[in-house]
Amino acid sequence: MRRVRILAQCRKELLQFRRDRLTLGLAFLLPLLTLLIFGFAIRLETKVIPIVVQDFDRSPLSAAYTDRLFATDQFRPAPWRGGGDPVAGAIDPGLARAAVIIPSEFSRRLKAGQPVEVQVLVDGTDANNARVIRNSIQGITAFFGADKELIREPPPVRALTRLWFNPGRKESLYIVPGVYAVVLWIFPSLLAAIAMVKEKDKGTILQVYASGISAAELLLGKALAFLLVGASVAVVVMGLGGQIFQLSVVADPTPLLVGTTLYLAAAVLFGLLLGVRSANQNAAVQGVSLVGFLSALLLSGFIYPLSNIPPPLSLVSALIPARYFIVISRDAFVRGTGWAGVWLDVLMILVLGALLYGATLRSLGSLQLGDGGEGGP
Amino acid sequence: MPNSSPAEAAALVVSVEGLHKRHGSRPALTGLEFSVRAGEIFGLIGPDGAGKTSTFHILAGVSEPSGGRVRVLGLAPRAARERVGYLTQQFSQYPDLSVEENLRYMAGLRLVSPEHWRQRRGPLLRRLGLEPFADRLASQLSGGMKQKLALCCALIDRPQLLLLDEPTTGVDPVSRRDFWDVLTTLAEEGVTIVVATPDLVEAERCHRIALMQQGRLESLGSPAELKQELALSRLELQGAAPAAAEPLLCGGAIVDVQTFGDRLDVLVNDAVAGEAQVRELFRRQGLPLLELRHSDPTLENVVVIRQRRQAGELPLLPFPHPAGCRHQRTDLAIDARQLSRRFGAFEAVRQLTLQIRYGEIFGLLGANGAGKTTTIKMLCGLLAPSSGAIVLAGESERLRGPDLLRRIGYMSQKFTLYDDLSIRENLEFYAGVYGIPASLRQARIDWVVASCGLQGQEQLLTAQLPGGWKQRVAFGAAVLHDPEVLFLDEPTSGVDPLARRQFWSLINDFARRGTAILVTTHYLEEAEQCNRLCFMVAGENVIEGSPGAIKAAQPGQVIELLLPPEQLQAATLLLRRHWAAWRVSRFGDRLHLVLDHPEREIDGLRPLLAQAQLSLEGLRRVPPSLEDAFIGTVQRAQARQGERP
Amino acid sequence: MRALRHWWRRLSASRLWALLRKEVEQILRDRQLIKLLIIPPTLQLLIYGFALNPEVHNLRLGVVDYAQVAASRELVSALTANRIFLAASYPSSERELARQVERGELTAGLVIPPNFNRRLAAGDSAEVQVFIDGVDANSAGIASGYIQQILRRFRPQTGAPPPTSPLRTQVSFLYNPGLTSSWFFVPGVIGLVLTLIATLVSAVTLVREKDTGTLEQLLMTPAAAWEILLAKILPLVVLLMGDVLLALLLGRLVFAVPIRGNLLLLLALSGLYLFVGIGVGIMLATVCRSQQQVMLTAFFITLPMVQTSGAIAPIESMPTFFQLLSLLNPLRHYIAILRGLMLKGVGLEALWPHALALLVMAPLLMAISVSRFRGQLS
Repeated sequence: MRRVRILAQCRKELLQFRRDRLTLGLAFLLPLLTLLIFGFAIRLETKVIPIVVQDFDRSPLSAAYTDRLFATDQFRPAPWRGGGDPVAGAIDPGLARAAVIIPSEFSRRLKAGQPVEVQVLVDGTDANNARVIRNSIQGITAFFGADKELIREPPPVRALTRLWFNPGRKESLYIVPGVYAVVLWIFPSLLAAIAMVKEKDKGTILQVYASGISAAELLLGKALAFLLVGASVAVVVMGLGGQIFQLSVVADPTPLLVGTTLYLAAAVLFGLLLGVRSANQNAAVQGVSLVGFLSALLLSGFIYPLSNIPPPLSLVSALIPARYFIVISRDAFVRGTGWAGVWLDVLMILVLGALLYGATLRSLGSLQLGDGGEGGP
Repeated sequence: MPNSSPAEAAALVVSVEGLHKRHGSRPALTGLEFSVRAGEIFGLIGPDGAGKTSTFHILAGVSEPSGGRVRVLGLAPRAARERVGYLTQQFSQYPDLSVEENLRYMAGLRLVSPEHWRQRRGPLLRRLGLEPFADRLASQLSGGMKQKLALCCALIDRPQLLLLDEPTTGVDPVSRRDFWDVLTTLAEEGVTIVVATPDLVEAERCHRIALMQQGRLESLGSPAELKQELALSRLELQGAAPAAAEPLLCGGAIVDVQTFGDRLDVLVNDAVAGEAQVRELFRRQGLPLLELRHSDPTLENVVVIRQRRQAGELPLLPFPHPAGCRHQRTDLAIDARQLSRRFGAFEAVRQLTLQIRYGEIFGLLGANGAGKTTTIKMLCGLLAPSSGAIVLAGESERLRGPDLLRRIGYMSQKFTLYDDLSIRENLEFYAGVYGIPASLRQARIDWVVASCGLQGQEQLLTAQLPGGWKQRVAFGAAVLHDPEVLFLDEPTSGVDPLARRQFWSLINDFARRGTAILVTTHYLEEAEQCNRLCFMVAGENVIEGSPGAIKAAQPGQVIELLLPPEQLQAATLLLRRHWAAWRVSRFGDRLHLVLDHPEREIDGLRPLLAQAQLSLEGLRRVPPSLEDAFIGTVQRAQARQGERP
Repeated sequence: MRALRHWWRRLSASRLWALLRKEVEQILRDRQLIKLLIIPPTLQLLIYGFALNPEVHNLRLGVVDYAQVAASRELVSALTANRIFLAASYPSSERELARQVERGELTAGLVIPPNFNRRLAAGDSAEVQVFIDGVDANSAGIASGYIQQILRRFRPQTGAPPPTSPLRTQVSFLYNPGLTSSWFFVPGVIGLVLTLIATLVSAVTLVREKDTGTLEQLLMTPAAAWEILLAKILPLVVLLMGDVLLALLLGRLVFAVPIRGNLLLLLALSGLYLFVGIGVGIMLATVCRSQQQVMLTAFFITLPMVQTSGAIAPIESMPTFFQLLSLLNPLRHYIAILRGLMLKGVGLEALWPHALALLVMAPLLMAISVSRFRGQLS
């Protein structure tokens, strides 16, 4: 293997990269855009849910109960006025997510110590939030009961709950390190795939084939160039992400450094693999955006916990480097355990990267045209 | 190499035995057999789809043969890659890198040491005239300079063998000549060159050529040998009325007749008998005949005759025109004044004025990037001019109106049929969109199919047709609706010479019936078939007029010198020391020298050549060819610009 | 009958017919297009549907039980009874527990103090400590809610019977009583997939003509721009309706998502929405020069569209700015329609604002993109 060839290849890729505005935008602008959209727009936990309260009692006690429901920022009154069926009027058209119906005689019966049932109708379409809504309303109702001394006995066990790592339950602490994994996977691989396929499309690959360069030299040259590009993307994205979402490294930074480098290398190799395997740029871009994006987004534990992915898919997810990088990234920015917590994940990325290298080298083969008649008659 | 002695092996740079290659199930090469000696320029000649590129792929080691034995520099092609330079057919340098960056990249891949790089870079760029453009992006180079860059990149590692796949296609004649001069010098320095070209005039400069057709090697030899093998003589008839005379010249000793503008080329079995027959014919018909000259057949003659003997000619069927001839008109079909088109800062077409009458064939000539396609697009309304006025078939306002479009035919440069439709589906589609009445549809589609010789293959997917055939079908699709004005953008590129002739017969047929035809081409010899033509250089009209008038307007007298092939290059260099460079040019296997005062200057010429041990075998005055005219005009313009500060 | 035959003859001789026929012939030969129409939607629907699961269950709980009495064990079994928590380890000390939570081996920790039983017996409140890994803020919030709820109800059997509060809530879940989370995601993903495919396919078929140069040839024919476009769009709408059916069928068969509303209305509004996708696609085709650019740009137009549509994360929880922005997002309205018709079983009486939004946006987008395309043609 000749270092000169690898460096010549790498220098050429970087020169080309610098000249092409589309790829420049792809490399820097779009990752930032993605970071912002994901960072700001993805909020899994629902706050300020619109609900409707239908009070048939209209007593001071029922008014106090209603006030209590809206006392926290969890609920807000839905823009629905007037009587009639709250389901047809407010929940069906999506104005409210739940309706609380206070029966008449609410106040009288409670004061008499007789049981009262408040009916709660929850829109179950979003199952996750439906549960959150139910738990909150039940909790508020229980507190209301305790407050008004409807229950004479305090609960025997109280919990002193502490949230570790993220006491404020800021969702950006969960989402943003995950976005790093998604962004640093897709863009470097997309750039590498395009660069690879472009050579085939433009016919320049013939010149490379004829020059006597070996497959490993070609692959390493290209990978090195896009690894450098990826590293600068990582610096920009993590730097700005840290500023905007107030994230900083809370642990030993070496696992993050090593992990990011290996992860970027794996991403670039993945892109090159798709580039080598696809017949044209379309297929390559489609492959990266479909396979790369879907897996990094959905099978990596980026949005919902990994343990929720059912068996056949969870096996696939074990092969996805993004899943391991998310652990490293969350550890570096939120958890802070360092090497002790993440060594296995770094190792897994290394193993997957090596597999990708092997696969790409195999598909490059002997650097010759196939018999499919590429390059015309 | 077990089969040959070491000495022989050393002399043979390339040896190919029984080479086969299949692309999928389609055979690309069948039983190729040839060898190339050191220091030789070896030409692979054939139309698109003949297998030239497949051969290059194998020689360059980028694809494996399906069968047979190939040795390059005594090694398997893959092992020899480091000593072989390869210019692919498609420009394969990086358009977004500068000249210098491209060269440095190739030097890196080919492991040129830093000292060698420093030593070679400057001289190489200077030699190919690229030094002033070292920082320019490859995409901003002209076609000719791109090819020179590619050659530069191939030469940086001092290869022993150069593989050049159509290096001069689409390159202007001046750069083309420069390029060939460099090749000739390289060959003299001992570099072996295998080159493909569709241009048969250029092919004359090869030492030996292999004629290829459909993956087979048809014949092999030096141009002279091939011509001799043909055993025919050529008579050039000057000043005859070609249109009237051509149909009469047949039978007897006459084998083939072709019109080149105002000249008729007649191939005869026997020169003496042929001349007698021709003179007799002309006398009987009372036709004028200014001059009759004997000469050797050209390579084009060789190819056409061989092909015709082998496959027979396609029938020339008359287009099924509707009954009742269209009335002949002599008004202007296209009237364009002061057309300009800018793309950003780049001015693609500058102040171009063209007038084309019905029934006229107008040729637009120029290299790639000279502005031909932009002009055509403006004339047919696809592109709005930045300034200027166009009247097309009487319309000046609505160039995109359906009524006007129905009267116009257009065949764009890119291949314009749907690859994923069958031939018949394509033709039916165009017949449908042009609203050709159902009563005429079938006859016209049948006409296209028959005149392309594709009967029974209408269900074939268009993608499966070789390039030349596609062009013919595309032409058929463009004229299905019998247009009044026809735009043809490089209709004959990649088409073999015989089919090219048929193309021109069809074009002539349409012109005779009153269609105005605007055609672009970069084959200069084809341009002789136009009634009028204009040369474009960098968006400007350099010369305009009928071929005869253009040639007549050339200053000086062209003297054709015949020398032994191996002395041509030395003679060129010698003459260029005594006369301005534009006056001396290689023309196939001859030298053309333009002299202002031939009477006086010829006397000095003979001793000059004799002194340099060059044997002049013949010398005669010839009318200038269009290529002479074009090169002369461009170079005089450049010389004038050079004189200005 | 004769009138029909006459009409047929006129149609089959028309330019539009020739254009349509050519498009259909091309589509039938284009294996890549057929693959594009079938494989990515199926794959996306399945992966999204299975992989997106927000349920909080089997959280790994570590328990340090200093009390080691029946009541403390009862507490642990109450917490793990409904499989939200899984007692994964019993570390010996609080420090060991903390270490395991830090390393991510456990998601939650429970520390039961030594005086647990004593305080319970005394009738005082016993206090237990709960640690939750807060990295996943969403799951952590839900988990802590559950813990509060379970503890509120917890009465050790040795103690007093559970009190009966007179104030009770009776919760019923509308539309999705089993709270199957895929029912929420599947309609969202159907909307997402259709947007992606409609945009891509229409942009690609247009750009391909541009790419190969046949568009130029087409423009030199007397066919009007509207005829060329209509001939391209009509077969696409038919094909994409096939995709709608495919997606609905997958949702029904694989995820058992019901279609409670009027199927015809669903199909009609889907057809309307397809024009939005096609409009975006044509727009892309006017911007891009090559198929590769189309792919890339399509990818990045659809990404924000999907993110602000409520397909994955509920719109109510987005910042106000994004909520307002999402009103302009046609996908948001289409997903609301899909959920309304599939899950809620409501009709136009509830969905008319969304339908109206599409009715305005689809023609507007089409008009803009078509006029842009025509502008490029001439």
